[in-house]
Amino acid sequence: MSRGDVLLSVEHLSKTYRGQGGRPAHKALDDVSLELRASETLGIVGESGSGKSTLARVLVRLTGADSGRADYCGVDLLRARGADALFLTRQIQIVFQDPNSSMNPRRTIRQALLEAARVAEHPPADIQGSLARMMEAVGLSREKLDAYPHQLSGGQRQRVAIARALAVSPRVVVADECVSALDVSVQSSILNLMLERQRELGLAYVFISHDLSVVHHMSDRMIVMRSGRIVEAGNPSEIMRNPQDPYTRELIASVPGSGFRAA
Amino acid sequence: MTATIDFDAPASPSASVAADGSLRRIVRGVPWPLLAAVALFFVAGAIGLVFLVAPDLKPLVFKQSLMRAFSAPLSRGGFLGADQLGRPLEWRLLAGLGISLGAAAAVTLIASVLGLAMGLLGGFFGRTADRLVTVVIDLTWAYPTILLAVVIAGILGPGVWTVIWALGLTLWAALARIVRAQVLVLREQDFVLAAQALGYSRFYIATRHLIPNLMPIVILMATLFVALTIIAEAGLSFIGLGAQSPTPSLGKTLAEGFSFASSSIWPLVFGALTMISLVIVLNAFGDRVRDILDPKGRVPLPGRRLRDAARRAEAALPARAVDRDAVIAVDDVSVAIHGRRGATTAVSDLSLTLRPGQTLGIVGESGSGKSLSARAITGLLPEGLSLSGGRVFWDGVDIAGLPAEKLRDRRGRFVAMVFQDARASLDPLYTIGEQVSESLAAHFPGPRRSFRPKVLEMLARVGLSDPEIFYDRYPHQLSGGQLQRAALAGVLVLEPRVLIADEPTTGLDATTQKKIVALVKALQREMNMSVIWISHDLDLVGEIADEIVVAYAGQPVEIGTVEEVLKRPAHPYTLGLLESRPQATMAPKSPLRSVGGTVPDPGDWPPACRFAPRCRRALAICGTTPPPMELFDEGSGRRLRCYNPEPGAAEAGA
Repeated sequence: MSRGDVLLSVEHLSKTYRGQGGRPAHKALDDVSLELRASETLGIVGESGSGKSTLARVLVRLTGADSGRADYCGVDLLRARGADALFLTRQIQIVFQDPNSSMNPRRTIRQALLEAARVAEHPPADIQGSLARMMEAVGLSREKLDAYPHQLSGGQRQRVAIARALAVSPRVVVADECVSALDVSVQSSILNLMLERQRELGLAYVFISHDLSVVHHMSDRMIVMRSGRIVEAGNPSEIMRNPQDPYTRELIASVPGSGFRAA
Repeated sequence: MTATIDFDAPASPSASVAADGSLRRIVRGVPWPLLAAVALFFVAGAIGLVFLVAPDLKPLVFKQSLMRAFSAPLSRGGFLGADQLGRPLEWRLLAGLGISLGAAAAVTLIASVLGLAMGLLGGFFGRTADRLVTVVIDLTWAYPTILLAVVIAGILGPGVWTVIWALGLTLWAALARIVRAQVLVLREQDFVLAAQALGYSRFYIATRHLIPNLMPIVILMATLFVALTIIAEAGLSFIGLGAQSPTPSLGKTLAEGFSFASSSIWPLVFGALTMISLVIVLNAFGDRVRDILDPKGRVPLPGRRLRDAARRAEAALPARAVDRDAVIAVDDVSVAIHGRRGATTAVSDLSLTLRPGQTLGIVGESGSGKSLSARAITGLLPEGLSLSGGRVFWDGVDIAGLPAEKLRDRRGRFVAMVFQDARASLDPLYTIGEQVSESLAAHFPGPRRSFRPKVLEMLARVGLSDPEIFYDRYPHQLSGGQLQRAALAGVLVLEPRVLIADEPTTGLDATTQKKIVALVKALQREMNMSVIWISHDLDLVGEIADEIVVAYAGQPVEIGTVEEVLKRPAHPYTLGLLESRPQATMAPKSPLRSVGGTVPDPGDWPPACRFAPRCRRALAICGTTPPPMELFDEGSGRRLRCYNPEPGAAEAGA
């Protein structure tokens, strides 16, 4: 399969969370359709309640959907069991937001990576050596393998989270607000790392964030979500230049410094 | 509280819990005499159990000798005397200790295993299991232990095992509840989701990821169970449901001692002494364990005395020239953290002035000390931190010279603060209106009702349209943006001269952030307030501030007007921060500039320039002599702490 082939296709996906304790039901996804092609980055921008995190969870099968279709290379993502489920696990991985909770505080980095590496289709013969290579690939020294998460900085933990997602050699990585909790100077180095890994491994990203400028920088194509619906989709620069939806316009106007720095 | 202190993870409790095993931490944290006492009781109990089973030793405990009945301590009947059947009391008590502690261990095991299993089942294995588990927990909770003991005694007959099962089958519910609640939190943690995304089974995740993180709670509850069992066994034995003659449990010995107290008081005295000392030791141990394992139980060291000492030392120095027009002037302030290993400086060399109506932005990454700087300005440092040098002037008055009472009264009316987490700064039990009234009541006399018109007006001014409705709403009924508006109303109703906003829009949506920024700007104009806006986001501060303070590792490194600092950054760190953000003008997917490395923690600061190890323009002198804060450019008044500023800034400034 080469660059540009459709890997993932989602059609008319909807999901409603039942209201609990008197709260009204909440439509997290409302008729969402999208495509992800090999080696591209699909950026998804939206604010709280836009459904972007629910979408991420559906893509890695942490949660189901009420209706619609989601298809990865001919495998039904919503109903996969057994060998199909394992195939999807190996193909689509996820990196989460919070570097403080992304690692089990009681297990070493080595244990965390080993847990992921064991799931790979062809676990390398020299698994300990491959762990060291995984660390170096995300810019960490192999000495850190025996560290506990609290001994690493937020940025280093996020690098380990990326190494863990890449350990099964996936083709798709879903990044759910993966730099939102980091300081800007650390954020840029993580984004650079993701761009490098993508160029080298031909990964496809679903890059989800509330930060419009970061999504714009990372994406080949971009989707704007609001209240579970896609309100705008297309080329990132095109959307920034000429937003069609009023909400997109509001979002662009809300980026701090947009007025000042353009000058 | 910790959320507002500007340090990275190492201080967080969950991280230090993980540092090493809970048991090792307990052994290290409990004072050795207490640890020795606990060990002594358990060793004695173990020996006592041996006496109960070993055929050669059994007669020591059970052999009757009516000749020696009720003999006094230090007589032929034994060291502690003998009971009503002439059995030496010391052996009876030793064996009793064995039975009671053995029963306690059994109960703890049953209750812990059952509680852990049921809590996990409820929290992690689906909604149906959860409902079932919750019903069983509630039923168990509602069913008295003593009734269950009667039922079990009906099956097994009264005895130690009846006690064990009756307690084991009721106490577990307490642990299960806590475990279930903890699992509900843990299962949303990213590492649990990541393991699920890797396709691991629930059973694997429960055993590898959940249980290790639940152990502190289990250990904590276990120490409670042990002490509870000792007391409950005594109670049940006393009413005849527990140990039966001739089994010498502590409770049984006490009960018999009580019956024969008129013949000899000693069995009762020694039985009670053993029991009391055991329970005291176990409870003291349990308390210490709770302090060690419960993250909320930690008490930081107070810093007040040190601060007062520093103030007195400062008072001897002649006052430096202070800008008399400034609303707030800060002169060479430093802040120290007092930890176990002495004081560490967290903020130093902080000097700044805030003029009427001016907005000052303080920008820095986590660990830059920006929040602590703000707290120092308000004279409100968290426990364990103190002002270790310098002075803070409000309207030209040194606040160190103000009596505490006067400072408190002036604080709310002079300087107000809003924080990132508006929800945490509002009390969930009171309505918004009540909380805004509370601010007024703290400073003005009169019944709360009399403040209502003023409160309604304030709610309307912060943009909570329909103030009558919002007056009676509770915090949980408000959105994030509305909460921040309510928090603003709560402090601005006192019409302070200065508002300190500590990351008030971080975590809010961009569109909401924009509205809050616009609101603060409008209120600032209306009320002629000065504002200090703290943020990690240079671009955001650029929108609101007149002047920017860039902080790095606890000290200001560049102070200047927004135009100067953002358009022609002089400090390499400022430029690094600006370049790290993706710009609309950049080619998509092109590499971003980044500042390598991380902000050093207080205590690990490099000796000279604190930024030097990460700086691409560092010179030899940067590693040897601390750079002073100097006037960089006459015209705009920009100040800079750098030997080798960015060339772009120098040209423009000249």
